[in-house]
Amino acid sequence: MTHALKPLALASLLALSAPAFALTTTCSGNVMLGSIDSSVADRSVSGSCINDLIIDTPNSWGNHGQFVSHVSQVTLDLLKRRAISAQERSRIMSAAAQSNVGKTLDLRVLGINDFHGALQGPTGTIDGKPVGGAEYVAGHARKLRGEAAHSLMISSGDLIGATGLVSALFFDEPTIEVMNAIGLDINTVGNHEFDKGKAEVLRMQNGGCHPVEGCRDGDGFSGAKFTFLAANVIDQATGKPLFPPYKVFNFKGNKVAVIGTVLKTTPSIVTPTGVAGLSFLDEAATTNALIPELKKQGVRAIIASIHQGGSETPATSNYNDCNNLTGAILPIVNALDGEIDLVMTGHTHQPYICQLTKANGQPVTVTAGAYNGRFITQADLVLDTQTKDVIAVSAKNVPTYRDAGMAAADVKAIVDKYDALSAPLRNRVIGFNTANLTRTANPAGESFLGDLIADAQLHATKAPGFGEAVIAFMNPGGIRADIAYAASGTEGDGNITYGEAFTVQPFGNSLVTKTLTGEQIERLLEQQFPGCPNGQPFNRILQVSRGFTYTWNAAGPACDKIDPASIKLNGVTIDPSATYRVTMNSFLADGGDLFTVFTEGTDPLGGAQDLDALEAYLQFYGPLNPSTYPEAGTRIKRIN
Amino acid sequence: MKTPISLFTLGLLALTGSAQAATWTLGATTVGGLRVGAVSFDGLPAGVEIGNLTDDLNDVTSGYVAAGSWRSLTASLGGNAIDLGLTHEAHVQTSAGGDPASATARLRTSASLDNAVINTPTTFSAVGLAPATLRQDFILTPELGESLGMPVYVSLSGHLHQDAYLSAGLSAYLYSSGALYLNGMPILSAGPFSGPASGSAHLLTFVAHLGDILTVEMFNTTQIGAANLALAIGAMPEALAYGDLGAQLSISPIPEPETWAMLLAGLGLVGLQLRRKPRINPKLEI
Repeated sequence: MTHALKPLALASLLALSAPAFALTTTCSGNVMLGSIDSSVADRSVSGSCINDLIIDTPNSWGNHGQFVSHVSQVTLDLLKRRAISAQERSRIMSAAAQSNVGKTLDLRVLGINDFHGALQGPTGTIDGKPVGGAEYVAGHARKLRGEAAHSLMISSGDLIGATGLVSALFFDEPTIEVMNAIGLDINTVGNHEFDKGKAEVLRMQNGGCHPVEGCRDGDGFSGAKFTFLAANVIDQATGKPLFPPYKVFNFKGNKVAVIGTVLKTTPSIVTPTGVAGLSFLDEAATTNALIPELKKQGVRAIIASIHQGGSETPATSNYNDCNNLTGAILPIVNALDGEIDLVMTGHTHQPYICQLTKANGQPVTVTAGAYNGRFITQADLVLDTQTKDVIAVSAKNVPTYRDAGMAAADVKAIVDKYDALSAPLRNRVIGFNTANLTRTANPAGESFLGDLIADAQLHATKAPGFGEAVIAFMNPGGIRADIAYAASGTEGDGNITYGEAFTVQPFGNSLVTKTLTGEQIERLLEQQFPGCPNGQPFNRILQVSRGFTYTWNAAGPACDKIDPASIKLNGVTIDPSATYRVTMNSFLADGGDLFTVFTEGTDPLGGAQDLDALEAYLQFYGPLNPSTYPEAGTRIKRIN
Repeated sequence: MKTPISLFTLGLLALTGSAQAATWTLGATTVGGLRVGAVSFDGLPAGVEIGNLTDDLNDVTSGYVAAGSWRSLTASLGGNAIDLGLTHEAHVQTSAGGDPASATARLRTSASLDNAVINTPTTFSAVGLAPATLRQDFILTPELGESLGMPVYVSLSGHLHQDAYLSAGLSAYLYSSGALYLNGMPILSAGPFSGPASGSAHLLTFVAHLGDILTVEMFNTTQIGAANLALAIGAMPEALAYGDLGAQLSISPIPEPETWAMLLAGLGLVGLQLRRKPRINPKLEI
């Protein structure tokens, strides 16, 4: 059936559109489609040049087809208005089809890791300039995102836990609220997210006040607007991941997935109550198992966010290099599916930008940005909008310099609010002392606070199921202040406040109990002195728990300053071939302060945070009097 | 009965806001259409155009479909000439307009005659048509941890704009049709629509399940013609016929029972308002 339309309407069409032609502007050259010349002369239509009507700037379109469809719509309208001929439309459309416009899409992925609630800065110095502080992390993040058409921001674990005082006093709600304001998209759980247990980390996501203490700021807590990921953390009650295994983002039809995993050995460094009811699966195997599901959803651009990391050996001051990276992240990356396009890591607090090899032999960019918000990792991805896969990655660590104009006022206001509210909480009395408690070591290297902290850590880990420890060692450098008898604030003389205790142990380390042999304990003690292969630069005397004693000879030969017969536990000489459960903090457990023997320990079990252990012990023991404290200052003896 | 259904859908959309239950993944695509054109002066061939829709662009990918040809030939014989233009194209998008819950399919066709130069009196004949067909599978896909089999609302909207501008003695033929299948079962047939038509409408809202396959089938063609048209010196015959046919699929979550109550209460209020206003029937019913 043919409709012979009445000869219509060219005239009326022209009449309708006539007013539009009253506006003119000067247009020159030909209509360009990206870099393709259509050979059609540009012209003014309703006061706009055709080149201005056609949007061909990068990242405007999710794919080439969207661009072609757009040009088709624009040129069909121009044709209907007789602004171009049918032949000119064909030439413009042909050029649009030939162009590369829309064939790639840029995505900027920002990363932080091991932020540890470092709301107040500076948190360090990079290249001689102070960095850090939530308001500066926010300022830099917003600037970097503002430069990009499409962006994501990912935290790769330990966002909370072992946090600064202001965040810790409010159960890390301040950090969540600050990250909501910054616009964080993802937080992959780290081991420290489990410091307070499953229910508490779920509360961080879902909101609600603390079940015992309530909302200390008085205005409720609505939880994270960003998504916690935990692909390899299985809730034994449900058999499902505690948090979603991944999240898919959609940029103009180009899907990008982030898979989040935490180190599978989390139970060995977190207190048993924190990980009760949870199973931790292999990082790479869990990540790889999700790939088919993602591909089925049309996802080909995949980022692995893993709270596990490596260390440069030796570490360099260049925060964008990769000097002989070693550590647990290597076998994980080596086992990752070839579909992974970027790996963001953490846990080791090191900054690095590496190219490591995936299971298919292809390289992948592996990033980490130190800790405490010292850096934001900037990874710029180029997506092929036809295959939906990543075709290029470039990454670097950007220091969060505290430059003028870079502080985000809204974020600073959140931190200031909590800082103001924290004063009375800092003054909460957690113990009592009858005299000054100092970290000043006697000639043998032993201090009262060293004894106290070692005893607290043994107390926290000696019970069955909590480590069955018989000895605790504490690094002297981890004791950061004395506790005076005189009041530090308004609490009154002889009262120990939470704020004072926090100043003594600010690092938020957790306790770890491992099995060491008597022979290893002897070698560990020798590692305290210069001259052993571990390279101790000066005498670094570990503080020891009650019941453990030994004598060292300052005039003894290198690496042989201790008579093994003098090493005793409750008066009984240590048996070199026997095994002992030994507690240390997480810093020492990884071989910190060059005490490499700690890494030889077996059967690790995580414990409470050091400060929590100290508080519990102060409450258990009662008023502290150094002159009557058991075995104070007599555990380590020195001759010569 | 059309108005309440539309309000129902509007209510659902308003309720769900940005809530996103799922997204679309493209399945099988069939796209094509032969392109045929011929011009003669005084019964002698002056130009022929034959080809396929995919001649200039044929991007059939996992995330979008863009295919088309945009051709124009200058037919000339003796001192006479005229441009014959034929275009046909197909576009399929997920995340249409940046909304992951939305997907679109679109066909555009056109046939045109212009730029005539008639230096000697002649008898002019021409035919040109550029049909486009598309059959596209859209798979309802979980995106935020939802599981296969979860029910969701799917809504289908359509738009159509086909028209022709013709000088004396030229003719045009405009035709479109569409259909929707759910897991291979037909659930909607739209059209055929012949002649000038313009409008957009919500067509259907139904319950589907994550994992279901929806198939959109569309056909659109425009044709122009002239049969033994006598042209004098300086005559400028012109024709433009075009068609633009589209479908949009949107996903929205099924509200919880308490939300249903709010929805029904809200619809009641809207109904009360409508009773007080005169009804305006849409000009075009699809």
